[in-house]
Amino acid sequence: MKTYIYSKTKAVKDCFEAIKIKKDEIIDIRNPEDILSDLKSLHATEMIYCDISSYDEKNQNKVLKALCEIKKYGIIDPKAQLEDSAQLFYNNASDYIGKNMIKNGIKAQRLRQAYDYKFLDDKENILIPEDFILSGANWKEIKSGKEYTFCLMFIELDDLRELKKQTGASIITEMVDDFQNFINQVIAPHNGKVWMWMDYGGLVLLPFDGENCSIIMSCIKLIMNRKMLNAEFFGYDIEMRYRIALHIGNTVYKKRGDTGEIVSDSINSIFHLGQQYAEPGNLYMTDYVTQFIPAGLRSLFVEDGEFEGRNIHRMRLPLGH
Amino acid sequence: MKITSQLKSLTMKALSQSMDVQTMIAMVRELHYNYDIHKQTGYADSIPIPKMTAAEQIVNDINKMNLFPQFINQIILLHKNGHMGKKFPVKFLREIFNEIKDQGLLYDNQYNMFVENPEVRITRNWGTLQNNNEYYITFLRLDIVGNSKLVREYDNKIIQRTYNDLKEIVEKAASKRNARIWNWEGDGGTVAFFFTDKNLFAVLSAMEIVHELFLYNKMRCLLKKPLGVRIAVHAGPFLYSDNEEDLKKNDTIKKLIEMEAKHTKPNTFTISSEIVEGLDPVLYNLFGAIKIDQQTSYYNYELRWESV
Repeated sequence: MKTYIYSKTKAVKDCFEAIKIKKDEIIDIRNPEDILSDLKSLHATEMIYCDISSYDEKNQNKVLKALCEIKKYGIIDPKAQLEDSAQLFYNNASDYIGKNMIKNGIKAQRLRQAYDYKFLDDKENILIPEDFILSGANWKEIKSGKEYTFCLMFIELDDLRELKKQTGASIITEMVDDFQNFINQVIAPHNGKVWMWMDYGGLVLLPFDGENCSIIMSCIKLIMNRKMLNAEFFGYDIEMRYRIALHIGNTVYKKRGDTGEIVSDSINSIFHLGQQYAEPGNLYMTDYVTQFIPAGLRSLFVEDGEFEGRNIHRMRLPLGH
Repeated sequence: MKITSQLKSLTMKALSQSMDVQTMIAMVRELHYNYDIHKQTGYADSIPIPKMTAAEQIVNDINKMNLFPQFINQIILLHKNGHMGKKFPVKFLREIFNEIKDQGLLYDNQYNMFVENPEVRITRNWGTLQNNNEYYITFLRLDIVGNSKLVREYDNKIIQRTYNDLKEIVEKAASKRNARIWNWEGDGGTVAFFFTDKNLFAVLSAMEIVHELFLYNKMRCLLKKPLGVRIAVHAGPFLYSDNEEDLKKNDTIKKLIEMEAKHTKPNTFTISSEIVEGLDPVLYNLFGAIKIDQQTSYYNYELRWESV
């Protein structure tokens, strides 16, 4: 948690400097004059406290107006200048620190509560469709034969059908085996399991708890670091390229190898997306998955049209990679 | 490296049962050119020294000179290549290898030397480089852009946290490729690569740092603007020294610093022609050439994204 305090009042500065924070928390006291320029680059995970007594009346209104646009801010009012402090909360504020609190001291817990107040609000904004049957964050509660909502990851090597004709089957088999082992390493920290495997790729099943979809970060790195992976791990004369598709949806779970009779719109969709829509070397995801892209990385994705009734997003590619 | 009595005993047996005294002396003189076995044992020059006596004396002397791993290298080279056209299959080599492995060292076939097993121990010189010996080393240098301004602008806690995060990124990229951070000051440092594909590993480390820093700046950076670093990779001769100050006097390092400071844009890295030669073609195409003068070109990598 990172908190910026904009104040030139000594009592306010002393009060915040005295707060005992944890190692991974930071309180940074900054010049009130910088607040408007700083707001332009405020990170989604940062919290601002603004001492309104540090501004004249004209600038107070300007600053309060600008603060309404951001998600996490609190107002410090050491001279009790605000007549209606409750109004602040209708304008997106997360906290109000009045004269008495400055006098009596503030505890770190208060800052965390204010921070979480909006953070939890963000999480509540994640839509969970009514037909979702969340599987939980791991495999503990998942039983064979029952339906759950999973994150589905399709990944397949590109170009190998053509290359097989040129290089022979044995080298291709070796490449695919290496690739499958590598994918197992990538998905293991996310509790993923290769569920179905075809000639050149497969479908990975990842438990989904409705709150996190950490595999997105690994997929971003798979695209970003593809050349490095080729040089360091695969080491073939043929450059390996793969396409990835992510979707969150329902399917009945059965053990690997026992999946022949499963009928699932989500499974059909992810295969169609990966095999019919996806261009070589790219990462795609359906609309619902995009909610879980880390906030700072959303600009890496672009809308890429509609496929089988779902909006599709594609990761921009690093140039040359 | 701890020289156990078992290792000494095995080495004595290997010497005395695999070669004559003249060959033993020839091996010692590769490491200590005026070694005199007669003087060391007290035998007159005209009297032949028994093989077991010579072997025992040599092993003890080598141990005192702190040259044991290097001497074992000589024995391995004799086993592989022979001496003066004659083959010398050395006995007890497998047992010697196992004993040394138990001490946390592994044999590097490319460089014919023992190096420490990074899973057991990590030291600055990989447990093998000797002071005042010259080695060909690949260096990665990294420098934080605008350090003085950042230090003035931000609270010390933020700076410490940010710089520690950067160091973690560098350490992770370097340690997984068995590199060593030889120098780390507040605003950057120097990383050395010596074994295996050292040029490739240095380039991959630099690329990983650029990529991870991109993600860090997007997701976790506490500064108002992205943290910027300049990175350069270059290889050349280096007279090994345990002293960090000696780094600055070395010509390879001087060129590295010049590449980084004068020819590298923030959050990119530059490599020299020594590094680009033989670089994996998969990576080669990612670099753009920078012509410095008629004789010199550097090559730069920048993470850029497809525009929409």
